[in-house]
Amino acid sequence: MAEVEVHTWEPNSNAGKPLFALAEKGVPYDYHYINILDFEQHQPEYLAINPAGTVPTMIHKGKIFTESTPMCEYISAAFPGESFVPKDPKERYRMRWWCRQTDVNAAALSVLGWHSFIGPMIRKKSPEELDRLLARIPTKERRIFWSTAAKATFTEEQLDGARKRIGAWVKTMDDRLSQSPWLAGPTFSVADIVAFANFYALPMSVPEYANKENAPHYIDWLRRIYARPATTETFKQSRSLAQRAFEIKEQLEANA
Amino acid sequence: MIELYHNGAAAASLKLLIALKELDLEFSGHAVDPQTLQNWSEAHRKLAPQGQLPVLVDDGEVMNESQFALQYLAEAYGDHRLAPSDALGWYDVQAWLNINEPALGPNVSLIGWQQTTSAEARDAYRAGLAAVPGREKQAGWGAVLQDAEANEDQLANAREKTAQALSRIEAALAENDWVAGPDYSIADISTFALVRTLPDLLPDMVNRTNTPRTMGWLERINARPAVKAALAAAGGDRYDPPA
Repeated sequence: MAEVEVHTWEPNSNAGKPLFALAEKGVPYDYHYINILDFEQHQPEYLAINPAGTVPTMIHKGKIFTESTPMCEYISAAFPGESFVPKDPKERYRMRWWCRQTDVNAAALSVLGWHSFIGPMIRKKSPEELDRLLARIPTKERRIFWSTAAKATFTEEQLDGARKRIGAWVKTMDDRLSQSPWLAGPTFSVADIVAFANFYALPMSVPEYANKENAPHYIDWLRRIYARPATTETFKQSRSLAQRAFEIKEQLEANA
Repeated sequence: MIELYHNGAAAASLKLLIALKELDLEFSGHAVDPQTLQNWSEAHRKLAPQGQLPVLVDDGEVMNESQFALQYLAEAYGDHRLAPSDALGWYDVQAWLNINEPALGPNVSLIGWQQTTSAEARDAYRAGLAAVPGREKQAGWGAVLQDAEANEDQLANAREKTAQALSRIEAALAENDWVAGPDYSIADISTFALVRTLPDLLPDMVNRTNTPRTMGWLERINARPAVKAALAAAGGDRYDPPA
């Protein structure tokens, strides 16, 4: 048994943050796969370790961690190897600012994700089964979130609005990355881990914005993170997203 | 040179004022009044494009996310007086702020704003805000969930979230003297700024019987010289419309 346990879904969005961060440190961990498409995060066994029913959860030396971004700062400080929290307090502020903005903009991206991927999979369940699964969600906010998500069908206008919002966000990242190699400044940081975990597939989901002509610095930043051994190691463990990730990586390398 | 653009004793501003006083830092303060939409002025939007308050500026670095500006003060000037030095303690402080600032911030603001303003004043404020050009509308999930939650009774929802946060505070104070661990930290400062007026706003919920530990903790923080100085600098209790 490894020193660290991670209970999470795929290396994607919040669920993926500690996986990428632990791999950067070369820390082995036990990966307990929680299939959120089957609502396993609302099963009693999972709620026993994380009563809010969110992924990820990390356990280290008996301590339970449930906040995904602070978890990455902890991983940086608690294990030997290169730190990914900058020393300069102003750079730290920028790192956290980029993490927060990533979370805000990832919400627009999830509209597309739900529309094309998660929503259709969940709607394969019978209405009775779905109601039973939704009733088990522990907090009201998460219940509203998942009920809305499970039943949501988006209008073309909403989908287009989400795409435009992500397009603007790609431009924001690109501008920043034209000034410094990494989001917080000269060094690779938690901000890059968090943004990559959310935006690694944009060349596939919004190719009209996330391309070399429109956002060359963002595309180069993606390529550099895909090239990190930790990224490859992490995607190798993915059950359903590895193929997509490695396809994007190949395309980025072919076009570099 | 540190500058603080703030709206007095409103919680997000007050927490930075307290931290500055606790750390004995020199700063120049600039009052910005969101009730008259001063936070949407051209000058303020250069610092805070979406009208955010407070804004901390240190040596040219503009910080308009107050949670991280507070962490900045503790890390840049605190020498561990306002935050633990170990990884685990720092995680606990960050996790506390992550969970409790969004749970209390908009809800206490809504409750206070509703109780201290007239319906006419609120309508006038909303009309003024609607006329501000270039405000970013909620997008994506924000908009979807806002629609879903608009059907809820907003005030009842705010009271429920506040009650849940108070249970977390009571539980934390049963384990330690301070909310995020054995030592006074920015987690206490932030939460104090949000909770300090609740015994007046919600006397049935926050009182010696229901929340005895919270009451004692509030007294201990109120007695701190830096907190007294910050409150004096901030002016009277203040509830601005939720951002």
